[in-house]
Amino acid sequence: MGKSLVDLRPGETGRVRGLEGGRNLIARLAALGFTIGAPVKVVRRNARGPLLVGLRGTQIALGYGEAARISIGHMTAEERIVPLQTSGCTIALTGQPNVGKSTVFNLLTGMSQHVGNWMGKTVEQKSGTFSYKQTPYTVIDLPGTYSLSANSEEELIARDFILRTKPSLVVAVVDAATLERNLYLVAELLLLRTPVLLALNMMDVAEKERIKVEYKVLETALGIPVVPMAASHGRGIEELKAAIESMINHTADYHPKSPAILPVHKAELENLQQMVAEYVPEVYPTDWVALKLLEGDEELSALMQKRMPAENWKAVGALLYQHEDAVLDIAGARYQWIGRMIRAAVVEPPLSRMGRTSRLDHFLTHPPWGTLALVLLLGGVFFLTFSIGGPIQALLSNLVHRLGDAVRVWMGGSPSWIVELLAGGVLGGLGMVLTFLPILAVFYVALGLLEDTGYMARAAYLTDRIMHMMGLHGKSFLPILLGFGCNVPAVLGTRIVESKKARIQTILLVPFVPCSARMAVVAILAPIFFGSSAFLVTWGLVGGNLAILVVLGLLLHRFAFEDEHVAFIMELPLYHLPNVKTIGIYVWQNLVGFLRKAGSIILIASLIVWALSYFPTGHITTSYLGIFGKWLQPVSRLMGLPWQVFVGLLASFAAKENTVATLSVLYGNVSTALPLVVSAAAGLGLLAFQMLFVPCVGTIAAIR
Amino acid sequence: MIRKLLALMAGGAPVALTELAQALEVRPREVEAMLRQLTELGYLQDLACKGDANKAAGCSGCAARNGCHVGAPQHLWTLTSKGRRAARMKGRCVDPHA
Repeated sequence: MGKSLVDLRPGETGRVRGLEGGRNLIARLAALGFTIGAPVKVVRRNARGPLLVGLRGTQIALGYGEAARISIGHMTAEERIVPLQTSGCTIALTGQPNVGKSTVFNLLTGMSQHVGNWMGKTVEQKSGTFSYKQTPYTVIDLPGTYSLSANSEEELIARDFILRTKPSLVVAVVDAATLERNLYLVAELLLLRTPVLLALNMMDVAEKERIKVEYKVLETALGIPVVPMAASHGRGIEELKAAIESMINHTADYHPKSPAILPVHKAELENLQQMVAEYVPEVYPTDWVALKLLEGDEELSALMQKRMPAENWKAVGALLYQHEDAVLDIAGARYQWIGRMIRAAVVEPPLSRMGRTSRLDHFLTHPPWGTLALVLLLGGVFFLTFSIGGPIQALLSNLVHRLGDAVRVWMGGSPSWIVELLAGGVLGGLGMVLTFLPILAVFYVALGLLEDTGYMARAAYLTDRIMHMMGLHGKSFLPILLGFGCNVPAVLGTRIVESKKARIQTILLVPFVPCSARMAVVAILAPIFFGSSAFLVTWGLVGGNLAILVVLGLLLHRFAFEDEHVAFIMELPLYHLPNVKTIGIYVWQNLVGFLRKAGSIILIASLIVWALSYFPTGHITTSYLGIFGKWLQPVSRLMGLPWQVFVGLLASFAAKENTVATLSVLYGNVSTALPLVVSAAAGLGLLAFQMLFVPCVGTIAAIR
Repeated sequence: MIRKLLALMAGGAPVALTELAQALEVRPREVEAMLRQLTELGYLQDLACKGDANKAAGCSGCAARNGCHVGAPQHLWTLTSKGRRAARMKGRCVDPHA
């Protein structure tokens, strides 16, 4: 069996070529509609799990084993496009997704629309009609595409329709605010023989961004009519109709200036044209087919291979193999052409968002000044967290403490272990952890602000210089960054690092990245020991932690994992005002995550610690935990910590937040009790230990 | 221009898209369009996913899975082996058998 349904990726389509299996399975698949020739599309799939498949206008879930029994073939261009029965002139509407193409289509055709599917496809086909000055027109809304390569079904449909149905005119709808992205498709359209008209849509958006598009200059540069529009406001539609009419009547000035192929490839292109000319289907222009072959177009390669004698195709194949990267020069020439158009017709204001971003970046990505700004901003985050969240937490902490006392009074007649379980175990552990929600909320709001304004990408950019020193580049960069959120996805993310050496080095370094759970524990404990200076201590702890990460990275790179340099390019988004909703969602998701953790792993750990500290005698000093703690005392004394605090640190192995829960169970109100038994110096040691302690069990499982 | 872009990336000097645009003397949006095109052609790979790929791989049970991607860039392009090979080629029309 050749290719089967499981070989298709999400979004790919094919045609059923055969069914395999027992009689019952074949009958069942056929009853579902999997008959020979039926078009199918994979909508969604898991690695070896079930597939969601689009078939005959409905969606069907199939097991992996069943899907593997359905053999698939791809559709030919002839199967894909069947010429439409149209009246009058046919206009094809094309453009990238999200350029307002559907709005233009609706404005042109009004209520006279027909919606169906492309022949044998699940891609929607919309057609409609309109009349202008007594002439009827049929408009076909082609699928949104970025180019006319054979990269997707949508692109194949668009180009096959234009080539095979030969509409009277192609209207290319482009976004005036992002012309750079849109003109590549226009460059490809101009290579086909069909006349092209440019609908310069979203002029209102460009005006809002203070981008001035000189449409008359663009018209001269392109050599085709250009109609400025703001379709969402209904502007420009009558002008578009008039331009369509003059194009159809050949009264418009039409001298397209399409991008030329670089002189270095001219000889090969001409050679290729001669080699394939005899075998190119009538509907395709020979020069276009030759160019697409040079670009490495798989669909046309397969078509020509089928049509040409083996010997001739072998010669073509050899030529294409020699010039396999010619697509870079062809695409490069198109981008040069786009650059010329943009320079001629687009004027961006000096103080655009781009301009403001450049000015800010001049300072914020500057090596010393940018690093100083990063350090100050992080200090600001900690300062805000403690000065706003701290007092609220203190209030809530008192409340939980009083609630515990009240439970002891209300349940006075109940067995003492039940009373203590509720007051000491549940309220003392879980309840106390929950009082720290305000601190976490402020922390996440501050981080969300930095993220949503676009600053965090600059922080990542600045840290790249340090990564560079550690010999970590490109693919190691992302996992390390993810580690600041959580070490588990960071370790899992190292799978993208191809080099084994770099992967191991990255995995070894990830646990040294201070994750948000560790930061939360430090955010909770630091004010207990250091009051208003907590933000300075936290700042120093994070800085120290990162310094250790860098030193370790340098040592590993120097002595163990020297490796190949891999470069990367990252997008720095434009700075913008933060969106309250976006930050709200970010804070909400994080707090819900914390609450889920509190309700599961932290609650269980609290109850276990309470039980071990209560049984068998009801006194902590003679409990199981007390006996274990005294056994640990020689080690904890070295750190200047009571054994209870040391047990709290060990509990963080399951989840970092367990440290706080355990201390709350063992001490009650940690805010008042801890400073009495732990000195500030020992507290600093406790926090440093917490930052550098073995990673949580989830991270270790991921490393395995 | 695209070959110069690949060569600059292979050289490792610019890291930010805006720096690359300055080096190529074009607007950042043009560079972005080229990077997307090169990704489609298989010369580049976009690694950034805001943690989605990692979530799918092993974080389905994690309570913090929606908030673990602070600071991860929207796009992070790196050369594929095809891209590295093309960047190494100085000229065009290279005969692989030569």
